[in-house]
Amino acid sequence: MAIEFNGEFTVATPREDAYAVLSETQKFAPLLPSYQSHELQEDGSAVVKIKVGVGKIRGTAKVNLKLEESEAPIRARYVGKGTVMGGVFNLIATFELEDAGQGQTRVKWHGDLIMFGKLVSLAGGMIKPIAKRDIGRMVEAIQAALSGEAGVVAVPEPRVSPVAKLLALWKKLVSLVRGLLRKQK
Amino acid sequence: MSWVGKSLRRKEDDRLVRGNGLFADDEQIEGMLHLYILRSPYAHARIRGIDTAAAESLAGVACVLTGADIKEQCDPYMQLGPEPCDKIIDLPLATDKVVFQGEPVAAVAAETAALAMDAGQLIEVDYEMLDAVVDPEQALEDKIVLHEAAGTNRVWHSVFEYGDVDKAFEDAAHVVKIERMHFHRFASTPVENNACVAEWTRQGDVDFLCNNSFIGFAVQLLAPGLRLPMEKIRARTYDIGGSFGVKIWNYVYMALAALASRKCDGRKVKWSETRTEHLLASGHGNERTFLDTEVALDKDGVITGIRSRHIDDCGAYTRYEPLGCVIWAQVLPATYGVRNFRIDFTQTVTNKCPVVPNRGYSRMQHLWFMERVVDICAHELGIPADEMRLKNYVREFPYETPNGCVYDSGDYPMMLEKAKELIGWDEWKKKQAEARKEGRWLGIGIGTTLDSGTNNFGQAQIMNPYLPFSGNSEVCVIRLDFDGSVIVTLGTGPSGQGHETATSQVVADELNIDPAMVTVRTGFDSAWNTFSGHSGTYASQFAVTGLSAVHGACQKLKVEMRQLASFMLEADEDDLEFGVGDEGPQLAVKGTDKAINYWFMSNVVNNNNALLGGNLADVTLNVRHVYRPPFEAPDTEKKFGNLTLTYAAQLHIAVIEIDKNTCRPNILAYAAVDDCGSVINPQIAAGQVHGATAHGIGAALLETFNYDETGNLLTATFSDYCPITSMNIPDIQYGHIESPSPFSYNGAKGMGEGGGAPLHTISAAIQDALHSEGIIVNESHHSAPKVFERVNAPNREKVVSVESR
Repeated sequence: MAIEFNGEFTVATPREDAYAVLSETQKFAPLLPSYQSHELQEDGSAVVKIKVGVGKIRGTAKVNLKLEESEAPIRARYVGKGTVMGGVFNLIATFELEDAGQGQTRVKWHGDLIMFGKLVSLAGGMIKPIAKRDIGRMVEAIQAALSGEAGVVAVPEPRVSPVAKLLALWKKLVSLVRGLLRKQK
Repeated sequence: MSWVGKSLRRKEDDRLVRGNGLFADDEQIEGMLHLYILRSPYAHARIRGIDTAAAESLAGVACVLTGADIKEQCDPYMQLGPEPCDKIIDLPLATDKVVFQGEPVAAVAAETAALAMDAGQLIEVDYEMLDAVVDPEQALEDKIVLHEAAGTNRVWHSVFEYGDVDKAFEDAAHVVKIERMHFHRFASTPVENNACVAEWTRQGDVDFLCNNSFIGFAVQLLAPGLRLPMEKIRARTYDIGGSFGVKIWNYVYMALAALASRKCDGRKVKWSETRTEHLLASGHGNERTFLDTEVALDKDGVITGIRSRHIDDCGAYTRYEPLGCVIWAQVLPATYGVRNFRIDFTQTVTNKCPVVPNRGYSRMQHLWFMERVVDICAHELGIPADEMRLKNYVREFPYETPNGCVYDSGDYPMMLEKAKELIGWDEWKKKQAEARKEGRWLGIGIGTTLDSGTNNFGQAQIMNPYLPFSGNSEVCVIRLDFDGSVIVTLGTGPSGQGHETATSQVVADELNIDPAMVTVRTGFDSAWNTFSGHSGTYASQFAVTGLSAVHGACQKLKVEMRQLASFMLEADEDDLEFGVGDEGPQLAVKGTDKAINYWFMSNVVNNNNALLGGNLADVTLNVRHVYRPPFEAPDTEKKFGNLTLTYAAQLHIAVIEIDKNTCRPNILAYAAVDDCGSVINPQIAAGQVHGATAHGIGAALLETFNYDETGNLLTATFSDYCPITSMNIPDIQYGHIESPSPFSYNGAKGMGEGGGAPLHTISAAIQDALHSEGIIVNESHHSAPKVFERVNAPNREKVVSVESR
């Protein structure tokens, strides 16, 4: 089942600031509807857990979300792949940012959601309206985040995977050694 | 007295209605494992990796199977079709790529079914999604190819041409052109899903308790697939809760249970399919599109020629296909005397569930096409539907069709007359005229169909000349047991057709005893039942092949019994008569009180045989008979030959009113007339007609497999698929005529599939109701939403044109 959504909104935020939120997985992930948690991976992607439910069929979906393409401060494109209750879904979310003058930014967004599996068979016709509702909520959350509304910009601390922690530690170590070497020179 | 022809109550029903039937899923054994099959959510995807660690580490999980196991232990299943079908790699689990939603990608065996399912959910499969193709015409463009090794989705193509088609069109007074027709995808849904219990013993033998309905065929495919000699596989059935052809290819899943048992050191493994799995991946009926149809007619409305292009969609794997590309030709002209045909036939694979030989297999689709042709021509030329049929029906029998099939007997005009009488035709015609004045959509439709039974497997050689199949056969073994009981085993594996009863009736007549004195072994066991490669329950053939085998075995047994009784009673064989005496079934000397009962005869042969003379050395009272119909191999070049032995027929009439507000078609009256030759058991025959009618009405009004453009099945539950139930079957006015077949010993014709008559009939009734609205019924599915679409987009100008000269 393929569902396509698009729309646009304007926020009273400079384009660079809006881009900063939309192009950082860590900030973007919590804006997904019914967000529960996310875990950053070493390749820069995030495994995001969100609550999903269609009627009595409820559970947690795991989405692997990755910023696949970005061009500051113009475009950010996420691809996601998730699993949910006997089904899977693929999503692509693209944000195009335009300067709307007076410090405002026009955000044109486009989403493609393709769902497969039992959930689609079982819940068929109910999925589209629910997806529409959830996308609406996500857009509202993005608008709020870009407008700097309280409670939204405050991104929860992500759970960092052990590998990512090691990698970060290694990077710090390398940077420290390089700094020391530069000082010695 | 004769038992054949009587409505003897089914012997099977006593155990079935009391809940004493034994089905594969009833098997409960201490220590048995349960199998869960993880299926692809994608219709088309590459498998980049499978992580089974979490599933394997779950307590209670005995083993996990993935494509890697399959590659090590299996060979691809044999493909019936020629190139490119032989390039298709079909294995019990997908190894590198999935090609339909529901295709198995891994399997888990665990202590309980719930645990196996939980473990299955822990398996991580990394898929790379690929574009899917679900439209057969797009599939033929080969922009997306399912089986790369085959290099194309077009798995079969040929032209069937008979007579002088071009001349028929040159001479035609009218040419009716129909741009497109479509027969939708559905399947019969047996009440029992697929199931099996498998055990791979330490001796390397594999034992299956299963519900496969064509074991003779399944074992031939399973054994090489599992790299075993055939004799290593034992497959057993007991009661089967319906098959309708769908259970013919559940061997794919049986293999998985066997492989799991092997991996678990021979523990028994049960696999029991859920309903959603069944709808998603057990097997669907063939979907067919008919393009560019042209019909030549003379000035009186007699059809003289048809040319058309047909595309059959067989889903993701060919499996039993491309047999369906030829099997329709058994009924090439349907019930009509058309002599000139050119049918360009193509089959394609698509990213949908593979098809199986579902009830009415391949002939139903073609018969629907022919009925639509006749019906649309009638409406376009202003000829009443009944008259149109009477102008075109075959009248003389035996009738050789243009492609060499021989219709054995029949009387279609009489069936029409009887159906009209049953439904009250004249009265309904008056009511229809009144309804039309009131602006109501009320239509009366006729559907005439054939149920061709007893295949000549030689037709498979038209599809692939190298296939070593031809003719047909069925086997029966009959013996007198130690206590004199009459025991019969069949090569067939019945799935509700009443074989135990019909067989008992035949044996009882032959031995002049009561059917209650005959024991017909339930089910089938490849280790003990003797069978041939054709043995099984399919293609409407039991009344001919099965009962001819039974009859032949009875003759052989009677010869032995006469010899033995003649010796024991010191009487001439001609003076002996079969019957029942004070001590049970016996042979007696006519006009005397001398008799020998079955127990005594059996005891002499089995326990007390020193009494016997040398000339009775061959008497065993345990005989086997193989019935072979008198077929010849068809001419594969010309696609000519007799493809089927008997042709049962059904004629249905429906009166339907379409609610103008909801577009829901409501059946106001329904009549079904059957002619299956001499009837063995009228109650069973009537039951088959009712069952086939129910399936057909369900298919026409409710049931459809809808896929979205990505290959997602949208009707994978009964709440969406909406199978017909007793709540929405109309009262059926049932009647029958008997035109005995000259080609079977008993005059019977195979029956049961029914030829999809309600699909033809309901399409015709809806056509009749909506023709004045500018609508041509060129689809076989008529749910309210479908009718709504049609009513809101009249298609007559686009779909049909008539040239009159």
